Formats: sequence, C-alpha cells, structure tokens
Amino acid sequence: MAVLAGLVALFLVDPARPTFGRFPAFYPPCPLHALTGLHCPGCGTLRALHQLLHGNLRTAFRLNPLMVSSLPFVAYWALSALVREVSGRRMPRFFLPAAWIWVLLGVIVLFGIARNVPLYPFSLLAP
Amino acid sequence: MAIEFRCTRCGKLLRIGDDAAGRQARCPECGAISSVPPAGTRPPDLDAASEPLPPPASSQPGSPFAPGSPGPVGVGQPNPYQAPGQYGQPQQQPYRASALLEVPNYLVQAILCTVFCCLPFGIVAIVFAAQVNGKLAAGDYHGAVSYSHSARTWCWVSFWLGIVPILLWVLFMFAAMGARMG
Repeated sequence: MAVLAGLVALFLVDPARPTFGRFPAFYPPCPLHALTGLHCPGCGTLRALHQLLHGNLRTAFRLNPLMVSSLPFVAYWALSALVREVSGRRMPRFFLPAAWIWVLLGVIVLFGIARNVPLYPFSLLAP
Repeated sequence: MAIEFRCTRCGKLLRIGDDAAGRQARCPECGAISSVPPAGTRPPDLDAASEPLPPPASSQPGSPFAPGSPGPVGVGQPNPYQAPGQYGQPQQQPYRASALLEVPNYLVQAILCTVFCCLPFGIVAIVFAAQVNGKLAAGDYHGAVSYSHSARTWCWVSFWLGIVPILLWVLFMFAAMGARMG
C-alpha cells in the first residue's frame, strides 16, 4: 500500500520541478548532492521512475541507466515475494555466484564514479 | 554421513550435510527450494536396487524406460546395481549435486537501500550479501548465516538512516504548506 501511494505521488508530482502547482514539491533534496554536489549511483532514480510512469522509457534510461536496467530484476523479486506471501508458493529463484555480486558491486561503484566525470562520454551518465 | 534427497521440482539427486536436516535447501540445478528430510533417510527409489537416473546416453540409445520407471532395468546387459557393494557407489557419484542451503542474502534490499536511502551503508550490505553466497557455495552454512545477519543489519541501518530524514523533511514541508494556507 505504501509503495502504491508512493507511485501515485510520483506519477502526479514531477521530482524534476521545484514546485507542484503553487506549492513547493515535497521531495527532500538528496543530502549527498546538497552537501557535495556529487551524483551518487542512485541519483536520478525518482525522476527516472516519474518518466517511466509516464511511459518515457528513453528519458528514464537517460536519467539513470543502471537503475532502469535493474528494474526488471527488482520487479521479479518483488513479485515472487508477493506470490509467496499470498499463495505460499515459491517461484523459481536464482543463485547468484558470489563473483557476480562482486562484479555488480564494482559496476555500481564505477558507475557512481564515471557519472561524476565532467567529460563527454561520461557526462552522458549524469542525470 | 550426508543426507540424500531429491529436488521436488527437477528430481535431481541432492546431497547435503546432516546439520541441514529440517531446513530449506536450494537445488543448484533448477533453483527450487526443498525441505531437507531428517538425517538417515534416503530417497525411497534409491533403496530399490536401481538408480533411476538415466545411464550415459551411449549405453542405451532410445531407451523406452523413462527415468524412475519400474521397467525391467538393464535387460540384455549386465546390471551393475545388482552388486551394489562392488559398483553402486562410484557409479552413482556423478549424478549427485550438493544442495545449497537456503540463506537469505538480502541483496535486493541492499541495492534498494543503496539507491534510495543511504549509500555507504547500502554498499556495506551488498558486500555482506556477496559473502553470504560465497560461503554458501563453499558449503559453509554457519558462515553464510552469520554474514546473512550482518547483511540484514546493515540494510536496516541504511534504511532507517535514509528514511528518517526523508520523513522529517516531508512532515516539515506539509507543515510549512499548512502554515501558508492557514
């Protein structure tokens, strides 16, 4: 329910704009970005989700390619958790070898570094 | 002595240590979760003389007998399982896989926390999640459980450190909005 309410709010209010009608938008600023000006690996997630909810896959991907490409996996995880809660049945799960998780961690960290490099190919990654 | 049982979905013969009795284990072949039977039990089909998994394809091309079917085993050829002491164990060996115990690694939660809430602690949680699966693959169940607990702890640390400022901010914004309207 909380997730659903969050998605509705995200659909209605664009995180990229500072105001919603005549009210200020209620999204909190990212503390990391406010303090350091850096883009973390998750930066642009809310804006990307807002665009996704409006069907703009391309814009969403530009805002945070890593998060958008990992969404199908997160969606499968959420669905299998939901199915297990509701019906008690287990959907097939996949055992990730530890090496893959280390690679994933490396990708997240490198992505976080690369999108802060203000040079051409890397600046595409910035939200 | 290890426990042997069959994956409930794909039927693969799995082996796991005695301390896994009564726990959940994951089939490394198909990923299905099965309950580990009590120590000392064997799959009933193994107590019969025949090993029901298919023999190497070259020995019996086009065998009409599905694996596990109660048909005449090895008609017209020497049946190695009639002398289990001599042939049985070594020949069954390649068909067994070690089951992986089910230990949550909280990887998805850790990544969600990294992305949405508190970056540094989410990364700590991902590191622990990786170690859970590393320990599981190495067969170290207790190590995996210990890392699993650490991963869960750091997910919660990250979650609360992220969510509390956000909630305070949202409350503050609504309060300010209310003050302006009233």
